[in-house]
Amino acid sequence: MLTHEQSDTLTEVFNAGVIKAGVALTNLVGHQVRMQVPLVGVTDFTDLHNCLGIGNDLQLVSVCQQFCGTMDGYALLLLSRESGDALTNRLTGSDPGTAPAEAERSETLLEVGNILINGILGTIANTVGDRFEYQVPVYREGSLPLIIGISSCAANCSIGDSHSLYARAQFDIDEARVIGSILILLTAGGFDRLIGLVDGLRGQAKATASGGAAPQTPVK
Amino acid sequence: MARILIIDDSKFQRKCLSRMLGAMGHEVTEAENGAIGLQVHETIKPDIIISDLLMPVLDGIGLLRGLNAKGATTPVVVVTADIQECTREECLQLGAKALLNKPVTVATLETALGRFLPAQTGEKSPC
Repeated sequence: MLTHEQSDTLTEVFNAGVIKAGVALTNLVGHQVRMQVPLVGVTDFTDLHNCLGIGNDLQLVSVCQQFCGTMDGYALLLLSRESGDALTNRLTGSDPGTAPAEAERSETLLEVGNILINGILGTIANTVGDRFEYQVPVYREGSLPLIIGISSCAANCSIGDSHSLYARAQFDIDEARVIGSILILLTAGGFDRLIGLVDGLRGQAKATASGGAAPQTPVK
Repeated sequence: MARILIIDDSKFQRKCLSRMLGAMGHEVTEAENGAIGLQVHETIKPDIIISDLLMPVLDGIGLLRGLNAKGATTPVVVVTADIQECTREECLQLGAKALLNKPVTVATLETALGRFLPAQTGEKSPC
């Protein structure tokens, strides 16, 4: 569904956001965070677990943030239960290895998710000259299919939609033994619009490289 | 010492900010959304407001509009995870003194307070 060039440009845009999110997370936890180059692709929701490398029966904690604008969709911070506990303990100063109270875990991870997701989406918006309106983030627990199902339903993204774009950015914080993923899913319409914006960006880049005049109105 | 009103729906964030501001010697009051923040503002007359943007009931933009409608002159520093340029512009147009991106550091917060707190609140009371 994506050409090599489109995939390349999308990865570049997402990567800039991932770097921003990584800096924010490093400042938050006070420890070096390693962010991986994001993986961008198009998939059917039902095959998402394969693309993400997350088993369907693994119990996860998640923060979901819906967004709308030129593109509609939602973003997820996904962590295993153990990683969620480790990150919470790290940020609240609690003993590593202890299970945080439910409320403490959800409050802490909600804020972490909010900061990371905004780092990525905000960078995308600034890059393509667009604006996202965000909903208040929601904390959820469960398996990947459950979280995706509920989040998709809430965001009016149809499950099984074969035109859904995903971007996965993995990070890890050695000291706290935290490994997580940030996932962005777009509705079919949102996917088409993003591709249009990406094609606009590539057109601009080509015009600049060849010494031609860049379009006056970039990529709206 | 200044009277500071923190408005944020995140208990985690309120706790972090309260801890930082308390350690600087300020008196902190918390509110969990813009609507409550507007009420508390009437009561305690803070020297400065530190507010989140994305909140249920009344968000940070609504808070800024509400303060403008009341003719309030209390400086507002927005602390948000939203890094979009258009958001920054909108907040500044609505009268916010500054927009800091989460997570804020003690140094960033201190600088912002130093710039926007009314001068007399930084001075010791004569008695």
